[in-house]
Amino acid sequence: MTGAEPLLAVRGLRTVFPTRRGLLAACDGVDLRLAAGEALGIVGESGSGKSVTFLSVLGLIRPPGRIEAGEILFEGRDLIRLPAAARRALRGRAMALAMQDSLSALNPALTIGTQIVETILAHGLARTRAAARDRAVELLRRVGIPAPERRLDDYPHQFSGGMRQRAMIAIALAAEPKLLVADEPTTALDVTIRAQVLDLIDRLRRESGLAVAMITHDLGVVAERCARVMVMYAGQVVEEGPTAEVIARPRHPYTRGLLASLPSLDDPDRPIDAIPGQVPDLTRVDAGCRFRNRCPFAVELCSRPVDLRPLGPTRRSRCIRAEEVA
Amino acid sequence: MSALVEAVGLAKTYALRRSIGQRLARRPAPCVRAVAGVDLAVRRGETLGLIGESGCGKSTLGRLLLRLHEPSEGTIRFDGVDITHAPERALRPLRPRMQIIFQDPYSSLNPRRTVREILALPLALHAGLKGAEIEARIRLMLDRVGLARAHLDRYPHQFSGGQRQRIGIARALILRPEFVVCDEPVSALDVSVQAQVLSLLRELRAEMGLTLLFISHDLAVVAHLAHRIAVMYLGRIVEEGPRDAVIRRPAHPYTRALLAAVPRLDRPGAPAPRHLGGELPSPLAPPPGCPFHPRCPEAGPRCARETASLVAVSGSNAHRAACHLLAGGVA
Ligand SMILES: Nc1ncnc2c1ncn2[C@@H]1O[C@H](COP(=O)(O)OP(=O)(O)OP(=O)(O)O)[C@@H](O)[C@H]1O
Ligand SMILES: Nc1ncnc2c1ncn2[C@@H]1O[C@H](COP(=O)(O)OP(=O)(O)O)[C@@H](O)[C@H]1O
Ligand code: SF4
Ligand code: SF4
Ligand SMILES: [Mg+2]
Ligand SMILES: [Mg+2]
Repeated sequence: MTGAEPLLAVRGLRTVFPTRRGLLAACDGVDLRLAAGEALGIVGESGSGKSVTFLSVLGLIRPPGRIEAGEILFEGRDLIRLPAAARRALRGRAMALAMQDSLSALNPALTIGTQIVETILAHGLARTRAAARDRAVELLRRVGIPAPERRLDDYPHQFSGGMRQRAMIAIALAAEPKLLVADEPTTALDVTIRAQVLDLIDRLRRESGLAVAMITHDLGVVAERCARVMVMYAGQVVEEGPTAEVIARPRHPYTRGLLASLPSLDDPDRPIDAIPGQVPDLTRVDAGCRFRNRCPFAVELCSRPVDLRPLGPTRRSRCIRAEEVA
Repeated sequence: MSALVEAVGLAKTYALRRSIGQRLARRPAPCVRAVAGVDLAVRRGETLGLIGESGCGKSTLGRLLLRLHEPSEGTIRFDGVDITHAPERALRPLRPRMQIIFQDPYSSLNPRRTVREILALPLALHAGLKGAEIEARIRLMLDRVGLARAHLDRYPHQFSGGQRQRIGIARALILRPEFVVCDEPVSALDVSVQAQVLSLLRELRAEMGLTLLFISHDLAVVAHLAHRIAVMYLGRIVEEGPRDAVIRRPAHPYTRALLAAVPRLDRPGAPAPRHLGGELPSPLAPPPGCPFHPRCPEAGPRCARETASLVAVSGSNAHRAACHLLAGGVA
């Protein structure tokens, strides 16, 4: 975290969905900052609110879901309080989502070229169709599609899985966004193809100052690609800091448990320790620490509200015993 | 150690539906050779890890070994018996001895049956047990996989992913099989829950003396469980050997690329290795010669002409790889 104004600053974000079991706060009091050219890794249990947090930033929460509280400052302007039209223009242009589940994200009925060209025209980044087409070729080349002028008229199903992903990133980048949200599916792709896609995102970040929010289940990906990591659990940020430090010395029992439960390729016989139990039902959480039913450090006091508090200049943890965890 | 399950020259070809154009041109239906000539032995008591990218034929191979599919070519032997084309009637007595655990515990469990019914079915069908015996076996198994009695009358949708996978494991193991194919059993689970299920599999494996074929695309998970590892690419086994030999001294360029691409926790900031370029070729039109040659950083002219077969790596037949570099070079 730098003193300079970050590209994105989220404070106290609370996004809720009415469900049959009651109101579900998918993210509840989320704070985060992301600077231009920075990669932030977001990890956490399935259902912990990673996607909802960033869908809220991107303005993609559909009713009856709604943002109930908080601010989302993008280049200093609060997206929640901006007039709808200005907000839409800003979001469409400056932020993009690359769902890594590319099959469901591309329109199967339109050629890859049409989908890129439409995006370029919609954002007024080219005057004519022909110019947009030239730009589309250039974009496909940039994401590493061989012979792009010939592949432009292919439909998504004619692309391989890896090519579809790159095409999707090309579409995401067509409007020259400043923020890219990359949301990985739980079940990973082929490791060699995924590495190519991650290399590409890395290059774009370094070359054009793209800010990247990388949502993933794979801590290894974060370790290699993101200087900073944010760990989420049950709708809240529970730990945040420089990735290397968080991995070497976690300051939250959940992060510590997560690390202990990973098998290691370099030391395959190291015993793995699972975190016992399950995540709480988000419609039934109380004000206390949400990890306490699974936490080996839990004490009486943990049933009182626990804040995300700073631990030195670069790290934060939502645990009353953070100093004892390592 | 003797082989419990053995495949020789095993192949499976799926015929796809013809497109309209192909039908008009009277062209034959295109074929996918999902498994293209596999020799493989799973020894009694061992866990053989099977890795490879999505679509390379891992699930098809696993299902062939269990004779859930009929092979197009080759031979399968289970405990010395040739079951390659055995009719279902002949397979029936063998079924309880070979089982499968699926990736997606949700779609593989009947949503309209309670846990009790799901677990009772194989016992009634294959073990010929009745009322009280069935109930006793179910309770034993339930305890073993860490579920409670109270769970018996619930339906699959009332469980979390990890609990559903425990039900899937209980169903596969309740007949006390010898051989179990685990097809990506933890891929759909959260890391913390994945560790619970992996530990459970390890315990049960030791307790019941299971022989496992453990399929996964996660190399660290496979390395944690497997005694030996086989690497598959486009329907073929390209490398096979003891776990440590394969992960520490990989002999096939594809295995090396796969290992280099696995993100590691313990080398933050390290310069990223050069990653493999190119696309996974279509199994509809596999490249001639070595199927890996269009992506292989070490390919030479011979690789485009000739298929490489598995040969011993550094003199030991325990570790084998299919690459011309190990047999006369690529020139
Ligand atoms: N449209 C919706 N309606 C109701 N609940 C929702 C909706 N979208 C998300 N949720 C709930 O919000 C919580 C957070 O979901 P979210 O998709 O952000 O999780 P995630 O951290 O991205 O998980 P994963 O790792 O599985 O992608 C979950 O409990 C989820 O079921
Ligand atoms: N029932 C089927 N009909 C046609 N093709 C199939 C069928 N099952 C698998 N295939 C094809 O066979 C190949 C191998 O598939 P699979 O064994 O599922 O791979 P993996 O388990 O390694 O991901 C793929 O190209 C797949 O599309
Ligand atoms: S606040 Fe208490 S229960 Fe929560 S993580 Fe810290 S020690 Fe565990
Ligand atoms: S045979 Fe040739 S192309 Fe195939 S893996 Fe070996 S060097 Fe590479
Ligand atoms: Mg998500
Ligand atoms: Mg499969």
